[in-house]
Amino acid sequence: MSPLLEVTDLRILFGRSRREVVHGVSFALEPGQRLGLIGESGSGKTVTALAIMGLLADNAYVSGSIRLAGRELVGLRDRDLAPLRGDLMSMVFQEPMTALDPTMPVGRQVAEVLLLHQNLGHGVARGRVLEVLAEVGLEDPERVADAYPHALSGGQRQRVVVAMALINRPDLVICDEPTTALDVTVQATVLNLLDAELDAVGASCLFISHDLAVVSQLCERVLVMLDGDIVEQGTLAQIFNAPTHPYTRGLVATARLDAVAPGERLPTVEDFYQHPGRP
Amino acid sequence: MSLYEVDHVTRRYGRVGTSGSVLAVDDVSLAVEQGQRLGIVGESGSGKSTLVRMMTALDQPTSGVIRFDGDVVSHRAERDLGGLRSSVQLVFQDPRSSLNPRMRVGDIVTEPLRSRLLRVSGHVPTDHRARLAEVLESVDLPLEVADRFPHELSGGQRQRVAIARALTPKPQVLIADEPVSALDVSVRAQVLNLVRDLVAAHGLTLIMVSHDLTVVRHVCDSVIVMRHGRIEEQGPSEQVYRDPQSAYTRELLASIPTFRVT
Ligand SMILES: Nc1ncnc2c1ncn2[C@@H]1O[C@H](COP(=O)(O)OP(=O)(O)OP(=O)(O)O)[C@@H](O)[C@H]1O
Ligand SMILES: Nc1ncnc2c1ncn2[C@@H]1O[C@H](COP(=O)(O)OP(=O)(O)OP(=O)(O)O)[C@@H](O)[C@H]1O
Ligand SMILES: [Mg+2]
Ligand SMILES: [Mg+2]
Repeated sequence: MSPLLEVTDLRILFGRSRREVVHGVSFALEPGQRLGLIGESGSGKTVTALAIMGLLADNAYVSGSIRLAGRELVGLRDRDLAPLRGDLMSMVFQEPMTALDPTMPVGRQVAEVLLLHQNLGHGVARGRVLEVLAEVGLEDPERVADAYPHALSGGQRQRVVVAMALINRPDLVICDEPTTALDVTVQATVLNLLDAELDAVGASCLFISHDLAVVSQLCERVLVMLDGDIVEQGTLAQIFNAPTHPYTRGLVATARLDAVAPGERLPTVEDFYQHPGRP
Repeated sequence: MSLYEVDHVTRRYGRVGTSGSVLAVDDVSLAVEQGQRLGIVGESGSGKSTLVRMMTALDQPTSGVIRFDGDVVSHRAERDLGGLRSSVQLVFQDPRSSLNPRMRVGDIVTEPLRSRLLRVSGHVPTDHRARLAEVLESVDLPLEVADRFPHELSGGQRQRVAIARALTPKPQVLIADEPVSALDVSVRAQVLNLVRDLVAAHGLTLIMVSHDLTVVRHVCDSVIVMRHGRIEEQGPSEQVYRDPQSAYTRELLASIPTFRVT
């Protein structure tokens, strides 16, 4: 089976100084597979996801290859790429306000995504929107649909964005820290929904998270990024039980907050791994 | 007298009876002592952010009163909030919307040092460059980010800028709304260690909103659990963690994701 997504030697540079923040990463995602992407803050997880979506800022330079369902995305004009977004691939953004228009009630924004790719009457669309909002665990979908983003709590916004990403049942769903603003009970609801939706359509998922426990519940394979490189990849069991890179070992060890007595100093990755060139 | 007194505070958004009306905070009373480390946990939409916005006088209660250091701070003009503004710093939940997109990181972080209210209070660091370097280092950001704009940073880097900004004027009270939820485990550990050190060295009073009870248990001595705008349970954090009384707190603890590796 050929992979749904194949990224080869992807490099991302920014600005006039062409600072390179992703240094030629390669990975593949099979149809229906869930791939976790973990790694240090600033290591390039979000920009890698944005490159796939074609949503990097204008001052970004991308080289290498990104093939989605056999089609090369690098170098594609936005006019050709835009129709794929929301339909073939969608993304849950790390910061919900990136995806939300502050001047429009959120229900209309979710409906717009739906209507972009399907020809439905507005009444039908509204019904479908309320349904999805309820599925992501929002108790009062009517009120939330009519609210502007600023009138919602952080976790409510995040769930609206999850609803938007799932409503067209795309083949590839990229989730960038989709549950960070959620309390654990709602997080469980959202993860279960994601799990069921991905299964229902056989969609693939690139799941970015700093929460290793969450990754372990949803993903089969894991990539570890550090300073713009993928330093390790493997199955869940390989990464969690027998990490080979010292950085990964530190990451796994520091994840267990409950293993440390309250008030004690927490271990950090630096206890396991010293960055070259940093004090 | 407690440092903070929240007295039967209610906040309703929208008019009663209209479809957009929400009782976000419903008759909440609490007291925070000098040097206390209070955690606020609870369901998404339970009123945590609304409560801390009112405690920092960025939003006003529909009824009830909030006092800081003996002075009423609810429904007061900005010019009468000197004591509150010079002692309390707030880290917002969503750095994307709280950091000015047109300012460089260096100016954002040192902005509180230029505030007139803070300068008159006297104990504010005067060497801005030195303080900038110091706080950036404490949140593990290289000095070179000072020249960048917020959108040129990663999510976790932005969150750390927001924390650094709040620490710059050496506040007496730090109120942080989900300060570590977007951080990877290592930076999270570092920031929590930093907060622990500040509490130990300067007797910092901390009010931390978090959806993560294990984080709260680690840094806070007491906790309130909120649900539907009300306080569902409160007590010493270790006790609430070990022996939760309300069904919702038990559910919160039971839903903490655990490693599932076969
Ligand atoms: N628009 C931009 N211009 C310049 N540099 C940028 C831009 N966006 C991101 N960067 C830099 O690229 C690097 C990778 O950022 P990215 O957002 O991918 O990190 P991340 O792995 O998602 O981190 P986090 O876990 O903190 O979200 C960071 O050093 C960041 O400062
Ligand atoms: N400006 C506003 N106008 C109308 N309703 C609002 C406004 N701000 C918040 N609300 C509503 O008030 C309730 C409480 O919101 P709040 O932001 O305080 O919750 P929270 O406990 O911080 O949740 P989260 O964990 O998701 O951040 C929510 O139902 C929200 O939709
Ligand atoms: Mg990111
Ligand atoms: Mg909140």
